[in-house]
Amino acid sequence: MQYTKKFSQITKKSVKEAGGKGASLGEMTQAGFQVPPGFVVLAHTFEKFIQEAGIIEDIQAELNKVNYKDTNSIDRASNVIRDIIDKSIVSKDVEDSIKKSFVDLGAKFVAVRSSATAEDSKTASWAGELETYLFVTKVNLLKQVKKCWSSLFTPRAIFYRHEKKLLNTKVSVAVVVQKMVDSSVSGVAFTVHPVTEDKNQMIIEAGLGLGESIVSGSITPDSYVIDKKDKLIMDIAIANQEKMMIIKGAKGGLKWQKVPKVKQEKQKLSGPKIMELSELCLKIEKHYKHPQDIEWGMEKDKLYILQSRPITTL
Amino acid sequence: MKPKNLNNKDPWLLGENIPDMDLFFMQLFCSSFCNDSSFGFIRQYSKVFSTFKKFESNFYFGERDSFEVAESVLSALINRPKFGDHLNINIIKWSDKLIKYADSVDKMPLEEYSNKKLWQIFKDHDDMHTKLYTYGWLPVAVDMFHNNMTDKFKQYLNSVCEDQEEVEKAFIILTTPTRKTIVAKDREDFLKIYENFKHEIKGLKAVVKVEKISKEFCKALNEHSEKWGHLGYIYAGNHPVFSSQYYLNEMCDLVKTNVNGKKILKNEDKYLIEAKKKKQALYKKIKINATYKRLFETASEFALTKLVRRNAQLYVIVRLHRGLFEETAKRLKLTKYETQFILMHEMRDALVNGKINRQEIKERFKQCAYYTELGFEKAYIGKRAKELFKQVKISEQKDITEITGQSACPGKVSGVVKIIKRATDIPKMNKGDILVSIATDPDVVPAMKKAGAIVTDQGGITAHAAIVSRELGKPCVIGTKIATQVFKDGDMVEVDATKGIIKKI
Repeated sequence: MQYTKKFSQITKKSVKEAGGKGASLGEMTQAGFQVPPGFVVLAHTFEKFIQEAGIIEDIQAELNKVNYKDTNSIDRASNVIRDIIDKSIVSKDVEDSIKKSFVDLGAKFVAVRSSATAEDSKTASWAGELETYLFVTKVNLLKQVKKCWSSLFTPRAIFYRHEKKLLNTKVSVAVVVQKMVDSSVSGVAFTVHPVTEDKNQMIIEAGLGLGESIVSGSITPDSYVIDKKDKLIMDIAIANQEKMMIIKGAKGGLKWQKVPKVKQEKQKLSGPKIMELSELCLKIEKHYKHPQDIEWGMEKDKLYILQSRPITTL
Repeated sequence: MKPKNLNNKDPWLLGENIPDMDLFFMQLFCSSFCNDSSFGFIRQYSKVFSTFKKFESNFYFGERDSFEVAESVLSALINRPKFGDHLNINIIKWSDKLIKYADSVDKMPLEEYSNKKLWQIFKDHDDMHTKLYTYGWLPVAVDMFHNNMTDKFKQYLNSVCEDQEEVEKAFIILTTPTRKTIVAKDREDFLKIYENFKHEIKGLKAVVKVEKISKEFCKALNEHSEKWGHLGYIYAGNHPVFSSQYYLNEMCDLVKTNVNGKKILKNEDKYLIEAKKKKQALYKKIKINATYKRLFETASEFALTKLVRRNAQLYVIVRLHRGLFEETAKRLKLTKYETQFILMHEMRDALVNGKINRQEIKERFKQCAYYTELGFEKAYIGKRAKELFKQVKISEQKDITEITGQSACPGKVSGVVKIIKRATDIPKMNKGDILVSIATDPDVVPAMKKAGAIVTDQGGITAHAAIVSRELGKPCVIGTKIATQVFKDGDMVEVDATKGIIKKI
């Protein structure tokens, strides 16, 4: 039995075993979008775990006790169930398999996210309600995987399933483990000029360090305008950048760091890299047949697509 | 017949300010801009307008129109692999033809010719010179007014270079010619004479009249003046040709600095070899695709062929003025300068049919406006001219203290402004002064050598100032559009040619 699958082994049809998020990352990987590599702890691995741990009945008993009109009652059930899962032992073969997948990935830090599965996609849309853990290392990986598993039983998830009358529907959870990109340069791209709405132009914004600082608007990034048809860079506006966000030490977390004076006024991405990134973004736009708002990062000269969303304001 | 586009909505854009132009020469190119249809895929200008106060002249295009013309030339250069070469080859070919024709006219016994035959010379010259413009104008049109080609090059370099600094460096290296300009040949001839007669020049106590030097030396200088002196004679002939005396004076200046002519020539050769090496090294470092490699080669050839064209044009103008125009003026009972304000179809009427309105032509020489569009041309005088002048009046640039342009050769320096438009302005130039000019034509090269930095109104890939400044290693900013209007003699300025900024200080 296979407990994990690499993104490259997953397609958009894999929702049942990899969840919505996992399947989507698999699809992007297959399409060559250079998403950070990763693997999925498959949904049946979770099922095997609760079965082997013999806790299915315990969980069901707790759920049966819930008074849905009383939020304290829901909270109490959630706490008990999540505690049960946390204390249960994962079988050696599952633990070995997850750790081996992590080693194969070759990443220092990973992001661990739950990726819910359900028989219909509407149910899966509460994937967003589930949990994400950043800067996870090999040492605490298994603990976080279990937390993702137990995120099926957060008070909100329990209440949601009750409200939508899904209590008898089979729900399960896969866990996505994805390399965290330690970006030296990162930013966003709009495949259509967001101001002029010119469909022939794309804008790439780039700043030093992790993308969080750009997305949140706390630094002003360089801005490059690309002509999509002629494949030329029409305009380069360089922004002076004094501080950058980086990963804080071995335990993860973020911190600000001063940018050395000589690097402050330098162009953040070279011309060939801008073109490489714009080709990548064009591919994504073409794939989804809609203008995209893309988050990207570059680690050791390799570009990664961190997220891509349709631009809905056009 | 009435003009169709004279009052259309496209605002006028100053093409060039030329302090020494006449209607004869202006008509030649304006008429070609609007009427020449040698290349179906190139857009013609829909309107061209010019103003004259004596020889002081400005010409204007429609702003949008001139941009569209430039785009059509640019796309032809990009999409038609042989077009750039075709232009360069033909500019050289028709420049040669024009020079040969000038020599033949120079030998004609014009005073024996009938009026009709004189007209035939005007016509033949006009045809030939127009043909030269067919090819010769496109390299200017594509870049001088809106920087279409420069922008496209930089956009391309943006996509293959590390950063902006590398883009600027690469742009300069790739557009610098690696062959001698025709002006360098003038210089070479000059230095050879200088070396041959250096001993005699050293013996001269002070600057002397050319009559006082040896016969051989005098003969060499006269020949040089005949071969190259036209470079000082720009368009209307209100500046004299560079005479043997002019060259003698320059040599006397040169000998004081104890310069070795052979060494200068060697350095110039060395500079070209260096430029070629830099280009090769750059092609190794930066991956430039075949199309742009070709375009960069074409552009650096444009800079060379522009000077070839200019040389031929001045060469023919000198000879026509001293022969054909003198003779025609005599017959039409006008001065030579007035004759230079007759339009071609009027010249035919005057010489073939004996019809001429002398009063109007005399007025034109004082002040006139001239308008051209497809199939239409007219010179306006008096009230109508004044009305038209108002259309193109540009507000005075008084309060401006900082202007920008394109970096042609990097560096930063401060100094005193000297406006040097023509060779006659050169005496006011001191070493280290900031030379400010409309465009530096070859006649002001001696002033460029003294300059601490060079700033011009005009820019573009074919700018002479860019080529010379790089060769001299002087900071240079081109394409500021208004430097000669904003600054005046004696202003202290700081030129940051790396960033393309000039500031009053």
